[in-house]
Amino acid sequence: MNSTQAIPFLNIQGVTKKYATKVAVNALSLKIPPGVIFGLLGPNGAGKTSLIRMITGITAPDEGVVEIEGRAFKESDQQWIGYMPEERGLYKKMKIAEQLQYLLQLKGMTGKAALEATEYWLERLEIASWKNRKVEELSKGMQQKIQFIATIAHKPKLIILDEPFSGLDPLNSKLVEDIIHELKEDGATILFSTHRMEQVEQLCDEIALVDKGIVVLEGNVKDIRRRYRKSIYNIVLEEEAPLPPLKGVTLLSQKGDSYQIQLDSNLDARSFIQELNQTCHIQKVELHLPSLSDIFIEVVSQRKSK
Amino acid sequence: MKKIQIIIIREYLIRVKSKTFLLSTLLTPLAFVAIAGVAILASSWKEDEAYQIFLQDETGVILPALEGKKGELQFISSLPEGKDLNSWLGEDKSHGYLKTDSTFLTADVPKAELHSSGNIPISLKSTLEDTLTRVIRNIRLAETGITAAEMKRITQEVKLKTLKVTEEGTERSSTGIAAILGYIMGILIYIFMFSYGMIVMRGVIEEKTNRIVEVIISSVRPFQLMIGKIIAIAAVGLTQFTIWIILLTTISAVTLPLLTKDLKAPPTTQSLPGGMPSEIPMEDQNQIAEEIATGVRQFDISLIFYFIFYFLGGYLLYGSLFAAVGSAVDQESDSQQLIWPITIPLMIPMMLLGNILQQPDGSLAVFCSIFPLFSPVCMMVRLASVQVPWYEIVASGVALILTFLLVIWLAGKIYRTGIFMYGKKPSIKEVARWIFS
Repeated sequence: MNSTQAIPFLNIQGVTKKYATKVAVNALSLKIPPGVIFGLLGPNGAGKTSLIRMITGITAPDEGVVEIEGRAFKESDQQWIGYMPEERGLYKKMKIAEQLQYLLQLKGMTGKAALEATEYWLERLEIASWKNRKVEELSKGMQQKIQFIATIAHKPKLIILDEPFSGLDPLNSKLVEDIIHELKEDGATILFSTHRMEQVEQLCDEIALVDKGIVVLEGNVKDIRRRYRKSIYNIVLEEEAPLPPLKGVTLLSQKGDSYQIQLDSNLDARSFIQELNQTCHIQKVELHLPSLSDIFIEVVSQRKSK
Repeated sequence: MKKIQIIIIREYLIRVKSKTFLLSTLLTPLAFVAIAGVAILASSWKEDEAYQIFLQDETGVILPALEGKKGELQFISSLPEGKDLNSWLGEDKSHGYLKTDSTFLTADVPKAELHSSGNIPISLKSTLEDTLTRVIRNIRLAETGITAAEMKRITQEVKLKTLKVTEEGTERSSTGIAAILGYIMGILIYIFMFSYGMIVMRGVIEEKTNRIVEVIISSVRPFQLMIGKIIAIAAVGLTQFTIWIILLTTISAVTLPLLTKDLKAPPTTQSLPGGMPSEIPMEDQNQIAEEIATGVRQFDISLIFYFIFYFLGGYLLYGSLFAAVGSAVDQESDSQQLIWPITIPLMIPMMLLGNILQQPDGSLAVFCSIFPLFSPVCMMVRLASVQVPWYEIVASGVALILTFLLVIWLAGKIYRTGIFMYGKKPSIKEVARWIFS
């Protein structure tokens, strides 16, 4: 971790993007280490897409710089970035294999290499039999897979996926997820933007929460969850029994023999457990970590009320 | 450059391989031939049925000059057995009754009445008037002692031959054919610029509504995508044009000899002696055939090169504007409010075509053939119909090239902002602001 912090893969420094009526990204800075799956989170309209467009070189920042591996972004860097936008787009009237070959050639592959990659990935994603069909004949989930292939088949070093699982059934989600892990193993850095927090917790090593054009929360997923813990414990007793009233302890919920309690900030967890142990048979006590979803809601609504 | 090339190849192949391209490429020359065929057929179409006129002639000299002649009009001196006038007129709408009374020969303005149970066609009325006029004229001439031959000499019209002086020398020119050619060229280049411009616009809108544009722009610059598309569609146009030239040359190589032979052949309907002329005198017909032949012989191959140059120049100019409009809207129906600054300058030369053809060297024509927004149509018309000074051609060409370079650059600026704008329809003012953003 320390070595990666020395040279971030992607170093976004004070980047600003203004549109006629609003500031989409406001002097935003962010470091993304190499070889991680990085979650870019934020409410709708937070500036995620604007930020991604500047990272991919689609638009240029009004201020600030995007550095890749320690140097400024240049046009040829587009070659090894794979970008799957939230709004999917393919030529509806074009055959699938031809279309993939075309998109990969635009990424700098030769015609032959593009064709080979196309065939390999169509096979991998179990849609090889459709290669001579037109996109308009495909289901939404299949189009999604085509789009995914177009994003990753040229072996990019940076893969940006905006809601990659939307429209996929659980089986196909698993298929795509496995490939994402595989790409990470092969050394790719993956920037993953989504609203589905459980996927972020499952997939991402690090996250950044963006709101109103700035980063409001950033870091390792586990660290963040620990940082936002609130002396809440989940307790399971041997048998269902009323919890003895204890000073400084609030019962939040009870379901059968499982309880969730919150301790006052001045109370030590160990002394509480000892106290409880005298009256009940404790089966399990664990510190409750807030889900990313809870943190997301908390941070964003706090900022709203400000 | 490599990427532009990849884009051009896709954009070109996807269009050339489409059914629409195949159909329009093959059907357009066929439609041309069909229209020409219909026009020729229609002009040679003659009503089979003759108009029968029962002429009650009190002068005693008119009927003998007309009775028994074959043709569109047949004169009879008596009604068929057992018919009275009313029942005879009633049984057929092509029956007429005409009475020339004794004053018909002497009156200053001879007058007569034609009765019929149907409407009398205007052409019939004028043919009948012409016929009677000739009869009266010949009778009156005979009275003064002038023969028909002498009269023909007196009323003979002057024939003017037009010659075109070029650097290579003097040659026969065919003003009429040249004007028609100019007109056709002008219209063709207009249609080409307009229809291919629209194809560019639709292509841009398609990529935008498909949302594929964002994927492509993550690999290439917006300008590369725009220019690749514009060049590919120009190539589609040239392909189509080449196929048409080949098809039309083949078709005309086969049909033109037949056509001119037909025109040179003696008219099938002989003119009535002292009576009805066929519509065009034989010598005039020969002259028309000769003019067409001269026009075809004279068709300067350089006109094709000029056509390609002005098509490309005009298309690049207007095509990039169409691309800019396409980038600013989400669907074709929204383009209306942005498209008029393109369509109006496109259409103005069409309104001026008549003027330019009448005075191809007038100051209006010269101005329009140099002004780059009008020059593709106007210069083409002039090049086809008159000898345009070289410096005017150079000025026009340079102005066109400089303008399309400027316009492509401006369009590129609008395009790169426009393709990411979704939702509201922008105003012209807003679009103009994108140029400076």
